[in-house]
Amino acid sequence: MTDAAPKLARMANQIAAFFRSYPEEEAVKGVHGHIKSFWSPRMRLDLAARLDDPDLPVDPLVRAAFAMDPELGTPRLPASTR
Amino acid sequence: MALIQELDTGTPIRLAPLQVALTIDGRQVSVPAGTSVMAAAATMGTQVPKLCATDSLEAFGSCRLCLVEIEGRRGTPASCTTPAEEGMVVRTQTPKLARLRRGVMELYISDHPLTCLTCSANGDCELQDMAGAVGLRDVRYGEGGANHRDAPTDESNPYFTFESSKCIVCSRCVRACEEVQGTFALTIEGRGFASRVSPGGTDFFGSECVSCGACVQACPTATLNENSVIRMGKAEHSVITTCAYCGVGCAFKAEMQGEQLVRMVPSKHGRANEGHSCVKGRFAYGYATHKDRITKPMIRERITDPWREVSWEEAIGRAASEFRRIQATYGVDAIGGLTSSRCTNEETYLVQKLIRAAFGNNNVDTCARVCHSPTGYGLNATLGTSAGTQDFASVGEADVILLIGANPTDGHPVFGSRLKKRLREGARLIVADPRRIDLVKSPHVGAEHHLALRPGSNVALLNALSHVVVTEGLVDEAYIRERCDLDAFEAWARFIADPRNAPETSENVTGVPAAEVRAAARLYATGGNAAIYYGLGVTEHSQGSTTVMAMANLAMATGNIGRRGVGINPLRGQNNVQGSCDMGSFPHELPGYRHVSGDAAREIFEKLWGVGLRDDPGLRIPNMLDEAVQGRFKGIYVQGEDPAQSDPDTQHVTAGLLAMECVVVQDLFLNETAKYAHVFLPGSSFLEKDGTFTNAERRISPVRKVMSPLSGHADWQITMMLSDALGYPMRYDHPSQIMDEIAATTPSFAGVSYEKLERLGSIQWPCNDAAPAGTPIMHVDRFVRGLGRFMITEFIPTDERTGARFPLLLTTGRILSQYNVGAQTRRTENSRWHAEDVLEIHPFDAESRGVVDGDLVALESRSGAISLKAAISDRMQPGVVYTTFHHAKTGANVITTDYSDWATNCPEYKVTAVQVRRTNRPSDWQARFYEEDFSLTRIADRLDAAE
Repeated sequence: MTDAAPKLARMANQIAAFFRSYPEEEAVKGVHGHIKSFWSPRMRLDLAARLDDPDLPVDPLVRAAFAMDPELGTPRLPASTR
Repeated sequence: MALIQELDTGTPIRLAPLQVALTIDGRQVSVPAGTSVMAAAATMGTQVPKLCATDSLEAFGSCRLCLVEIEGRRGTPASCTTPAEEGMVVRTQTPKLARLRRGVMELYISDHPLTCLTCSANGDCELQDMAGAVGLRDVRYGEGGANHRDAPTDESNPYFTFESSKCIVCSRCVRACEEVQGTFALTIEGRGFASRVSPGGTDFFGSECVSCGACVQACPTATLNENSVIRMGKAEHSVITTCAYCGVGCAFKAEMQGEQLVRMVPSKHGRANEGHSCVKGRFAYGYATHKDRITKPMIRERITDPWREVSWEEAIGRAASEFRRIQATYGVDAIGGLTSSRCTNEETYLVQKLIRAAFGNNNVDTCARVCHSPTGYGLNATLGTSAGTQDFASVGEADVILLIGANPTDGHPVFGSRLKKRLREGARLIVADPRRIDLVKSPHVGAEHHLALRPGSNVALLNALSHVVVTEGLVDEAYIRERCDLDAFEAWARFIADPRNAPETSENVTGVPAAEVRAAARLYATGGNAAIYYGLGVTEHSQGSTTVMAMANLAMATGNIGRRGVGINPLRGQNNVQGSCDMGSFPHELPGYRHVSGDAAREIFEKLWGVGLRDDPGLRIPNMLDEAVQGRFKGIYVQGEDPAQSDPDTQHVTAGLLAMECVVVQDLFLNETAKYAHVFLPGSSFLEKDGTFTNAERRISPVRKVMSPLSGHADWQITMMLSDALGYPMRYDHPSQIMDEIAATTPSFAGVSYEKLERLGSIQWPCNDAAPAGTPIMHVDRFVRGLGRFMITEFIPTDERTGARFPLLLTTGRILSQYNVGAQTRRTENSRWHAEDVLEIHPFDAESRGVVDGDLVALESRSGAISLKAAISDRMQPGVVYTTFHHAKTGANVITTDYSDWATNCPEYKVTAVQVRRTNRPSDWQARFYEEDFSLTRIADRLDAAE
């Protein structure tokens, strides 16, 4: 099984790069809103699980977005989801 | 049913506010000023005899058959070239006119073969009709004189024959090529009696003719006639339907003999095409009955096994039981599906319903993911709706046209012809494209500015254009004050005015001289109605969504949204890209672009469908493939799509498919994805079912069944069978009932019904109580989102960079004769124009690599390698190479990478760092392809035909 996190981190960093043009609070909300709107719960979970990994380059705006709303990284998955 | 006969008024009916009243043959008639006497007569049901006139063309006045008498005027003027005037009294039938017309016809017939009974146009020949209309009974000139009866026949074009011995030199074909198509491939050679129609001194196939069929349609005799008509004879009934190729969505009359299609003739009443067509829609329909069609369901245990034909029950049962097994084993989210932009709205709606209601997740996506998903995101963020703003006819009122990343004369040919017509009328063109596309310079049209930017620098270029608008005081302040969010505008204006966005700064990134950018910006902002048209050269980038927003910013800043002649218009790739998006094919949106997390929208469907729906986004195509490789996504239902050929980084796609335990493909052919499938469900072509397509201008048009499905079922019925087998029965007897459900649940479709489509012909959404006949132009008084929102669009270079190993940039696209993955057009004579994908390379880059035209070259990127022939072309800029992706055996997407748009994951097809070198063999991937093209497509145990 390949590691999902590096690609997800790259995608999240791209999102952060777009919103960086806005004031920080707005940017964090933008990143949060985008990930919540477009990413599946599993993708959010996979990235959240690796946010503390120092070897995974994650934009501070992404970290802030996950920190702002703990539920972003701990979504409810259907009971039958493995 | 009968053949649909469309009224030919001979010359166009003018659009003018002033009406003039005149008397024709004793009856009063009123027509718009500027309309000809001939057309005025036609509107009251009087057909003045004519040969050189047809209402798709301007009057020519050469045949002298349409003479009339007008009180107070001397002589017998031609009714086609005489404008109707107030109080005019016209007679179209007098003994004198009859005598004159018989004389004219006698001359025509004296040099025409009298083989009517065996002629391919027998019963469909205007010359024959006119001989009858004028009462010609004798030709006095004998047969011994000079004539053209031995003139040669040109059979070089695969779709039509030019039998010049039957030509009356009325010039309708020449004028159609000029006025309708805008190619100017035909001319009249010679003078006087020696005048003959010629495709520029060569044969049709070798000429600049693009086989649009306009000349064939315009020809009043059998001189230019479809080969299918020559072979089969005249059709006995016809049905109006909608083309299944590009996003223009042309209306055609499918002319039939029973269930056999004789020819496709563009309908004058089709508002997308107004009687015009291209080589694909007009002629390339043979795939529908090609021998490669799979018409029986098939299954296999492993993809290395040969396919086994089985009953529908067994195939559907296998698919359903496998999907349920996978969900029981790996979880409810381990399966998903893809809707098709080549299927109808109704079919697409059913697939997303199946996935949301029967699969129990939101893992539904569509091929719009890999083409125009950034359009949806960008236009929604700025304007409030995920669609283009205009109808196609609007371009006729544009004064300046900014064409970005689109090549309409190849990709959207019928719109390309409209565009060229407007340019010939004087509109001014700005082209932003790395390549010198045909519109930069072609007969009688040309771009005032060709901004030949480097691939990947769209945002920098658009920001530079907006910088000029803002810093040179070209902003439409009143428009912005009234229509836009002022805080967002001010923040954007500060950003865009920064020197980093100045053309002089971005020149280093875009490669476009600053002075050219400044001139183009001034033209766009001050040249009158300015319209933006764009294609996949905008969207298929890591900043695709940002580019769409940057275009919206530019249009809002100059007040160019909300009326005719302006706007932002995506040219959609496939026939129903717009519709598949509208129908809720994205994993985060229900039909009508409502987010799945919205309780109110979800409850509408939950109530109607009787099942709870998930409120979290599902997986997009690339996410499904990633999770498949990771071992979590195990099954997929693919209706009418071929991600193994069309999606980027082919080897990653096939690795994902290989990792799945159940791949179900529903298609016309065993496509590339089917090589990795376990269940094959034979689909139906657009000729075999009822439904609707929605084109790039939001126009919903009817698709009508003209023949029985070869497999016995339309695609929507197959989806119903699968849903039934999954324990979620769907009950529809006809697609109109599905549309009724769409209308009942989706506000922008609330007023749409098959009854209304029958009455109006087509409808542009939104169609509801506020706009019962539809909405040609969006955002007229206010933006859909309320205030237009300027977005900050910082240029961020793609991570895909050239370097020593991969020093060139590859960009991909399409050409006129082939369509998308080529599954349809490769199975037609269109392949005679494009038998293989080639690599276009600039002479400098070719020379430095020792490559000459026609050499086999290896094209390599970090994703993979392929071999293909080089075509040296100075259309390319140095450092940039180009190819198409129409042939599976070429494997263009083996080269493209998994980089994608930041907002939507739309792949970055347009920027791949590559190297090119000479080679003498296929790549390893291609060698494997050739082997697997046999080993993974074998069919054993064919069922008896009677079963």
